[in-house]
Amino acid sequence: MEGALGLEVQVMDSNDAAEADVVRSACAGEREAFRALIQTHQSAVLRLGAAMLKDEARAADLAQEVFLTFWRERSRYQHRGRLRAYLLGIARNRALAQLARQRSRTRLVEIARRRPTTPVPDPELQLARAQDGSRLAEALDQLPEARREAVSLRFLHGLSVREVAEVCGVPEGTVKSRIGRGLAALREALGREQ
Amino acid sequence: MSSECEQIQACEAWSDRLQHGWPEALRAHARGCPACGAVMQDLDRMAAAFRSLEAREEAEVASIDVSDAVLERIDAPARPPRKWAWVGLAAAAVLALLYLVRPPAVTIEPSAWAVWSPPDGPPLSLEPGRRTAVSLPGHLRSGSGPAHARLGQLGSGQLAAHTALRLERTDQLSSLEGSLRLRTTGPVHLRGEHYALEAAGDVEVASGHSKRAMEMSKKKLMMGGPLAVVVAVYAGWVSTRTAQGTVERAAPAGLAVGKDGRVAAFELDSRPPTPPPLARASAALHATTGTSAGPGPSEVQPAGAFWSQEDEAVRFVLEGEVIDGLSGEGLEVFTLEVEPVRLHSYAEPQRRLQIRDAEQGRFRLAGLGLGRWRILARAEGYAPVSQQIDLSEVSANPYLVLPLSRGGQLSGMVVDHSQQPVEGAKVGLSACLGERPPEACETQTTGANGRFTLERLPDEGIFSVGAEHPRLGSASLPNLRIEAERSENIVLELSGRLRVFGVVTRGKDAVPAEGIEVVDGSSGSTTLTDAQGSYSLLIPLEQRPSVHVVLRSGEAPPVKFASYPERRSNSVLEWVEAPTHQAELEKNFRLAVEQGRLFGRITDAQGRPAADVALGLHNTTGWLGRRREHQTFPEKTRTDADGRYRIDGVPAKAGYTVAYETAEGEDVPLGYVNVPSEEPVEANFEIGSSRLRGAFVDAETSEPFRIARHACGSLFGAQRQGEGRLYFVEPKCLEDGRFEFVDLPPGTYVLKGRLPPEMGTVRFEPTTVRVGPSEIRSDVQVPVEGEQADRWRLRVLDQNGRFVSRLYSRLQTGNRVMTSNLSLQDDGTIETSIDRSFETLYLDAQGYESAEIGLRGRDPAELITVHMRRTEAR
Repeated sequence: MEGALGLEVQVMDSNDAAEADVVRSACAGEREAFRALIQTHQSAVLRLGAAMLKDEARAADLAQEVFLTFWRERSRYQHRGRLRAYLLGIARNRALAQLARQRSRTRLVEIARRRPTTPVPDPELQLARAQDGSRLAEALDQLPEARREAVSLRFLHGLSVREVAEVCGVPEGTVKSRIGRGLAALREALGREQ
Repeated sequence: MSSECEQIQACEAWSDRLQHGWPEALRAHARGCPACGAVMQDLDRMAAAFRSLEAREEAEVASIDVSDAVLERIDAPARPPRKWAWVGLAAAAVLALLYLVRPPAVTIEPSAWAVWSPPDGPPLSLEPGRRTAVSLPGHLRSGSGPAHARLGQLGSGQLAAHTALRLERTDQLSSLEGSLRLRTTGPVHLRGEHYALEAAGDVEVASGHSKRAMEMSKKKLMMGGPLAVVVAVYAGWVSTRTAQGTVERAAPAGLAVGKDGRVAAFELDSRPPTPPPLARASAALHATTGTSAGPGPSEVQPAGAFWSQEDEAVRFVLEGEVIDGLSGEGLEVFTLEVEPVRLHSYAEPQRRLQIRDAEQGRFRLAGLGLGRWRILARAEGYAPVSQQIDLSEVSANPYLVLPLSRGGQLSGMVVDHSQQPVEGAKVGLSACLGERPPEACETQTTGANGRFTLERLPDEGIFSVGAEHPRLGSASLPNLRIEAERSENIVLELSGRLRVFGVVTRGKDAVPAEGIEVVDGSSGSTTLTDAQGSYSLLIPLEQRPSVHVVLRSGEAPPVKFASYPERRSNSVLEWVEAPTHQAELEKNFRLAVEQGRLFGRITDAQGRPAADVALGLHNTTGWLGRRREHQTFPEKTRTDADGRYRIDGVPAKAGYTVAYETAEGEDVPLGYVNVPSEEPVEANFEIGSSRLRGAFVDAETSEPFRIARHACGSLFGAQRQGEGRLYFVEPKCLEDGRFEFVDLPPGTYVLKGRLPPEMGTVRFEPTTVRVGPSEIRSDVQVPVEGEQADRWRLRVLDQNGRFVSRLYSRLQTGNRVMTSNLSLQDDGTIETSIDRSFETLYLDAQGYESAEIGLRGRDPAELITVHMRRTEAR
C-alpha cells in the first residue's frame, strides 16, 4: 500500500499496520508519534547497544543517536520492511563505528563483562531457564562476532533472516550459514556444560 | 515414521531448516519419534534459553527511556562549528597577516650600516678559513627587482686591513649566528637571502642591532609553539619565492679590505663596480723572473694581494729567489712547481704550474689564490727542495727564499743471494720503485758489474733505497741518512728465487701421487710429480707467489676436478707465502679423496646393447667445486659394441648424474649414481630405442632414386660389431617408397641393400649411420647406382568396361622374364614400379588374353588404360 509520504508499507498483520501508521505520523513530523515509536523500539535498540558496547550508559547514548538519526533522515525514509530492522541496522553501524574508535584507544578485554554477573531477579519457576539464559549469554559471547550478531538479531530480536541480512549488509545465504554454525556451536556449548 | 525420524536425526547438524525459524513442523514430527527425544530436548532448551535471555535483556534496559532526551535534542540548536575549524581560521588569518607584513625590499644607502645580529647571540666571530653561515634579513632581499645594499667604509679596528671577506650564497634557511658590520663605498648587490660568510683574516666585529632583525626575532619568540611551524613554512615560502624570482646567478660576491681600511666589494650583477683599492689584474697563475719589471700590465703588480677581475677573487703576487744552499748565489736555471695544498673554497685555480729557465734565481709568481701553497724548486745537480707558504692574509707580502743543496751521493752494488753481482736491477729511492712512482723520481739500472751511483739524494731526513729485479726479487735498505756532498757505499742483496718443493700424496694412506701437475700461480710455471710424488718449483719473488696443484692422471686425459684437497678446493690447494731471504720452502700436498670407478652396461628396453653411446658424468652433489658449482667430467666415454662402459678416476664420496649425448650435443640424463668409495660401482641404464627413416638417392646426382618396391624390402641394417657378430634389422617400407627402421637400439649401423637377382641392375652403396638413443632420424640417404624405376599407373578393363583383377605383370628383356602380382587399388587402378631398362610390360590374367604395353616413349605420369579381351571359349 502506498503511504502518504510516498512510503510503501508492507502490511503483514494488525500490529504491523498499526506501526505503519505510527511511522507515517512520525515521518510527517508528529512528535507524539515519534515518542511512541521511540518507546516501542528503544528496548531493542538498547539491548543491541548494550550487547555490543557492553555498557548501558553508552547504549543509551547510542539509542538517542539512533532515534535522532531517524528523525533527521525521516524525509528520506524509504525502508520497506519493519522499522525495527532499520533502527537496528543504524544502531549496529553506529556501535561498530564506536567500537572501532574505542579499539584504537583501549583494549576491549579490559572492559568488564556485565551481563554474566548481573543477578537475575526472576521467580523460581524461571530459575532453570534463567540459568540457561545466562549460560546462553556466555556461550554467545564465545561466538565469533559475525555469528553472534546474526544469532542474536535472529533469535533475541526476532528479525527474519532477510532483515538480518539487510542489517548486516551481507547476503541471506551468509546469514543462514552464520546462524546455522552459531546455533550448532551454542548447542554444543550448552550440551557440554550439562 | 522411522524414515522421518532419520530425517530429523539428519538435522542434527542444525541445517538450513533450523535457520528459517523454530522448526515447529520438525517438532511435530519429533514428538512422535522416541529416537528423536534428544533433538527435541535440545530444541526446547535452546528456545527457552533464548526467551530467558531476551527477557533478561529487556529487564535490564526496561528502566531506560531515551524518548525525552531525544525529543529535547530535536529542539536543541545546531552544534557550533568544531574547535579545529577555529584553529584553521586562525592559522589562515596569521598566514594572511604574515603575508601582508612581509619585509619589503630595502635598499641600503651608501654609508649606511648593514647589520645582522640576533638580539642576544654572541658577537659574530669570523676565523680565517672558516665558513660562517649568515642570514641576510629582509632588507637585503628583493621583492620585485634586485635589492641594493651598500656597504660603506669600515670603522677603524673593526676589520683588520687586508682582510678578504667572501659572501657565498647558500640558499638554505639558517639562523642568525652573530652580528656583522660592514661598510663599503660602493654598492653591493646581493640577491637572495642566505649566504655563507668567509673571512681570510682576523676580524673584529662590533655588535649592533638591526631594528627589523630584532622585530623578526621577537616575532619568532612570541609565536613559539605550533605557530613557529607556520612561520617556518612562511619563511621557506618567501625564501623559495625570492629564490625563484630573482636569483639569476649563483656566483659569489667578494669583499677585500685594503690597507687603508677600505673594502673592495664585488658584485653579483654586471654593473661596473667602484674601483677597488687594489689594482685589478688578470689572475691566471703565471710566473716571471726578475723583479717588478715586465711587459704586461699584470706583471707590474707589486708583490702582495690584488683583486683578480678574471676570477673575481683575491690573488697574490709572490716573489722570491732560488739560491745555492752553500754559496748563497742565485741559480740561473731552475724549475718551479706550484701546487695548491689547501686552498680556500673560493680560490679557484687548482692547477700545477711548472716554470723553467728563470734568471738570476729570482722569480715572480702571480695569480696565487688565498690558501696554502707548496713551491718546489729543482735545478740540475741539486736535490729538489720544497717549501710551503700560507697566503691567507691580504697583507701577506711574502718573499720566498729556496736554498738548493747538491745533496748526497750513494754508491753501491746489487748482488743476488749468492753474492754475485746482478745486472739489470733497478735501483732508486724506495718510493720510486712502486707501481706508481712520483714524477720526480730518478732510478738507475745496474750494469754487468752490478754497481750503481745515486746522486742528489736529499741531505735532510732519512730515506730508504731499494733495488728490484724481475727474476731475482728485490731488496731495500731503510733509514739511510746522508750528509750534503758526501758519498756512501751500500750493498743491496736481492732475495732471489724461492724453491718450493715437497711431496704430493693421495688419500688417507698417503700414497705418492705421480703425474700431478704443480703450478705456480703467479708465474704460471709448472712441474709434474715423479713416481715418489715429489716436485720442485723455482718461484721468482717479485710478486706474492702461490703454489697450487692440478692433478693429471697418468694414462687417461687430465681430469681436472678429480683432485682436490681436504678443504675441498678445486684446483688451488694452498697459497704459499714468500719468506724473505729464504731460498727454499718445503710444502707437501695431500689429495684427500679417493678415486672410484664406474662401469656398467647400457641397453635398450628389450635388453639389446646400445653401442657407441657417448656418456658424460655430472657431479650433482656440488661440493667438488670450490664454489659449489656442478662439475662435469671433461671427457665423454663411449660404450662398446656390447653396450659396456667404464669410467676411471671418478672422485669418490660424490654423486653423479650419468647422461648421454645426443646427436645435437645435448646431455640427456640417464640416471643417478653414487660413488661412495674407491670400490668400483656398477651402474646399468636403459635407454630408448630409435627410429631411422631414409630414402634412396642416385649415387651420382643425389636426386631421389626410384626403384622397384622390392628393393625396400631387401634393405637391412647391421649394428657395427667389432667382434664380428652381426645384428640385423629389417626395415619397414613406407608408402612413398622410403624406408623406415623402427625400434632400433642405439649403435652404428651399416645399411645394405639387396635386390632380387632378376631385378639386379641396381647396386646399393653400404651406408654407415650412427643412431643415438631415443633418436628419430629421417635424413638417411642410401646411394643407389643403376637404372631408376618409374612408377606407372594402369587401369585395366574388359570389353564390358569392368575392372580386371588378379593381374600378373610380366617384364622381359632378352631372355630374362620377371612376373609379379599386381593388386587393384581402391580407385580401380594398378600401380607398379618398373625399371627403366624394360621397354615392354605384359599383363596376364586368367581368362584373358595377354595385353602388351610398350613403355618406351610414354610418360609415366599418364594413366594408361588397357583393354583386355576374354579368351574365347573353346
